[in-house]
Amino acid sequence: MIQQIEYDSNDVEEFLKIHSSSLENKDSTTLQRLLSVQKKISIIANIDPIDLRTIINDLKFIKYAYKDYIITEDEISENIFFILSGECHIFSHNKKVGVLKAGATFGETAAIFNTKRNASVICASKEMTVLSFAIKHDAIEFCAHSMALLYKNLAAQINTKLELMNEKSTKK
Amino acid sequence: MNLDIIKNDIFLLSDDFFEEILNTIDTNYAFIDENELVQTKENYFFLFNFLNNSITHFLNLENSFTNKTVKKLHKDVKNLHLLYQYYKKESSNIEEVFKKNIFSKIPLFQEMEQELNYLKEPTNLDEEEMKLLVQRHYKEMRKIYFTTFKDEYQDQMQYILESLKTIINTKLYYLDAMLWNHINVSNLLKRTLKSIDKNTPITAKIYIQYRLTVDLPYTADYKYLQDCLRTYK
Repeated sequence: MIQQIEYDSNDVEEFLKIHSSSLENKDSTTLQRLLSVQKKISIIANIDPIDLRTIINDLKFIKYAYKDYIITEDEISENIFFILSGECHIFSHNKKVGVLKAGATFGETAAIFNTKRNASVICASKEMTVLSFAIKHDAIEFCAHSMALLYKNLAAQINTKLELMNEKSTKK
Repeated sequence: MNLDIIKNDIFLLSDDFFEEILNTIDTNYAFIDENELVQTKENYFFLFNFLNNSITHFLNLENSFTNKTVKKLHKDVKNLHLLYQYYKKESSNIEEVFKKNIFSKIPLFQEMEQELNYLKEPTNLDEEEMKLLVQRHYKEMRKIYFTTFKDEYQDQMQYILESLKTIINTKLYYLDAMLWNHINVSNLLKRTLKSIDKNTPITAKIYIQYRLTVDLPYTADYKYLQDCLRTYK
């Protein structure tokens, strides 16, 4: 495979000097990436891609470095995250409660119910790339069927998590 | 066998196979996003050969006419273009990729091959029947796995090729803009392109028009330059 070219801050400055008034299609590449992994994100897996464009908001790629906070416990934010590469640890009340790797989704419950984050998520690899997006709740007016699917998927996911927790506590 | 299990097997093996290129695409998209680079609708991808040849030609004339960012960007675009060509070729090699990277890594087939090896020379009717059964099963399963892989492979390849094209297009847009800025501050290059009025800033369009006056008409290169001129509008 080819060698990746690294650009430093001076290079970036050169890029930014190239002025253009047209910031056309800013979201298109990120949206394409989301659509390419849609099947792997269970809460949106079966949603019509056309509706998905209406439902999704604030879509972006974010890179984190080791020990960066992706989510802070108790904060209110509306983003859902899908890990493209890297690994993160979940902390609740300063205690490590889990590990998430590439292909995992997190942050969906608090984002959809607009509640406080119940854990912190911290980057645990040298670098981590996530796809972050929010749900436009007012899209229910235009995409009622897809929004219903989304909430149904979320309920199924919460149910799976509860079953797993039950299983764990029964074993203990 | 459950189709979901087959799909999962294929997903995991395909993920391994595509991991490196998808990481390259993600890194590039992240760079574009983080710096809010312009994703132009114009077809700069088509201008790759023109820009690549022009920069190489200018660098031969005056190696210091540009800075390290342009040189880096030029190298980056050339690398990405090579990747694009490689994946374009690979997109039609499904059978080969399946054999080498997927089929050989699925334990089910290794087990069946072992069984067939054991039944190579059947000694009784039961073994003969068993051999036929395993052979049929092997064939059917291979077909199911291949069809499942083919769908996934084609989807991923389409995404990879479209993404590489978008990334190259975006980076070429910047390379083009940087290139002509640097030409205009190089006295040597401005002198070399002497038939262009020295008070006229050199743009891609002006340079192509100049090339069209000195190149041989009715050649493939000449036709390509005319098409490039149309792309710049």
